Amino acid sequence: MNDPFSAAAASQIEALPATGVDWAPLLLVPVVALAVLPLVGSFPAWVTLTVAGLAMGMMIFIMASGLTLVFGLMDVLNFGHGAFVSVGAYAATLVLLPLAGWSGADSVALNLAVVALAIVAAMVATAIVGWIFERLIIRGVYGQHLRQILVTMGGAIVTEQLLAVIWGPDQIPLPVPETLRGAVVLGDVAIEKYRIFAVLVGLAVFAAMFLVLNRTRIGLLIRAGVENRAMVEALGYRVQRLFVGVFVAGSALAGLGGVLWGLYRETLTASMGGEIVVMVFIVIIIGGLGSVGGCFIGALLTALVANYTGYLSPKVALASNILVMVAILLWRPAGLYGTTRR
Amino acid sequence: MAVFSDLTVHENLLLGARQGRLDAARLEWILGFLPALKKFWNYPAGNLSGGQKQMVAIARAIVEPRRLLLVDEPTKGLAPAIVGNLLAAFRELKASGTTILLVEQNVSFVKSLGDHVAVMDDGRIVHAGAMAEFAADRALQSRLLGLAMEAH
Repeated sequence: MNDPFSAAAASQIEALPATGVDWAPLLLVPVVALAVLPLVGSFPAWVTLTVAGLAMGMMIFIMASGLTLVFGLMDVLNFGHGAFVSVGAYAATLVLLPLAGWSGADSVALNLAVVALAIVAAMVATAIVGWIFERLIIRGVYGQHLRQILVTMGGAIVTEQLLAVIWGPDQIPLPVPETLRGAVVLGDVAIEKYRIFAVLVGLAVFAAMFLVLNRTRIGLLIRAGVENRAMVEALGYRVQRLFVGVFVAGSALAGLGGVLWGLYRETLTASMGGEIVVMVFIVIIIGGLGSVGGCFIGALLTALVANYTGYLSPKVALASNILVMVAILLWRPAGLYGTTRR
Repeated sequence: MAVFSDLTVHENLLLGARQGRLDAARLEWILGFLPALKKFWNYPAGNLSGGQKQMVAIARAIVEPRRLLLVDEPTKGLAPAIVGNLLAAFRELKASGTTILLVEQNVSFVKSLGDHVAVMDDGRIVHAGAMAEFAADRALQSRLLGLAMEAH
């Protein structure tokens, strides 16, 4: 082997640096936000709209992030995902209503503790519901999209009706703890505390998912499975088992999103998840099916554009989600960060 | 052989390692005969050329010791110098006790590696026997393969 590619020569070769990040989608949110500033005219109004949009976007991201992986990994279209949002919000009442004293108490620690407990309860409940849903409903219809849509919608209706049976058909008021009420005032600008809280939780979820997907072996397997499930199986891994884990985790995240959204609305109805699931699907299509990063940008973008158009031109706002999706898909037909599979 | 296009060369190899990490000495050995992998270590495998992807797939298959390797046309798309490297590497794998089932059209590559040979035509095995016998019998080779072996 006396040629230029011998082992000795190989050790001389320096690894090239990693190829750069695809920046264009990352710039989308700041560019849109700044471009709208002169149109809105008033800086305080712009800040309020932007923070509200970011908060809404973060909540949608939390609900959508699990769904995009579920679709990416097993090609499963789960229209029942919205029901997990409702289940999460209702499960939170089990903590928030009996412990209303903690919510109303003049103690930041008690206020935050009750929210944390509510989140834990919601995530545990939706994880269990998700696990049952996967075994009972999804497992029979792998690889059959039409049946998936029908049967998961049916599952969602049953789940929502069960909520109505258990908790009754009336709206349930969900009080926001004292610490998260009101607004922070900076000069002319007032920012609702709860929105800041939602943004922080959303960022934490995104950071956690980013770390799991990019820094752990499970994450590596998920990313590989999203791109090519058969090849991961050929390497000797059980993607099915991985999928159940992703499905349960995604359901728990929908539950977390449900708590945040329920507190944001301050009232609960069993159909609240079904109402937002269309938005969730739009977001994961914009992001590129299977891409958590794309889903994050897509969620922020749709929520911001909805807020801006609602302020500037309320009639256009009715169609803003669809218009954003059309514009993005014309630019990138596979979504912002479409994977190179299929 | 296919690779994960969205994952880097490094991550593709990690998926091949069932123990979850790459053995430094073995990696050094692999990068010794497939040096392009070192250069593109942090690149998404989808950005590589066909031959380079082939190298990623080969490296992923042998990133850990295996008792049996099923290999389909590993030399396809590789530069002659790399084919030479690969031959040496496969000989080492063989010497270390790995059984290799190789499907290959490159007859000279096969002849210098195999112990046993089976020639297939139209889906059926038309000849099976020891590689040494096959390699020595030029008439048999030209009858079975329909080629003048000198051309290889």
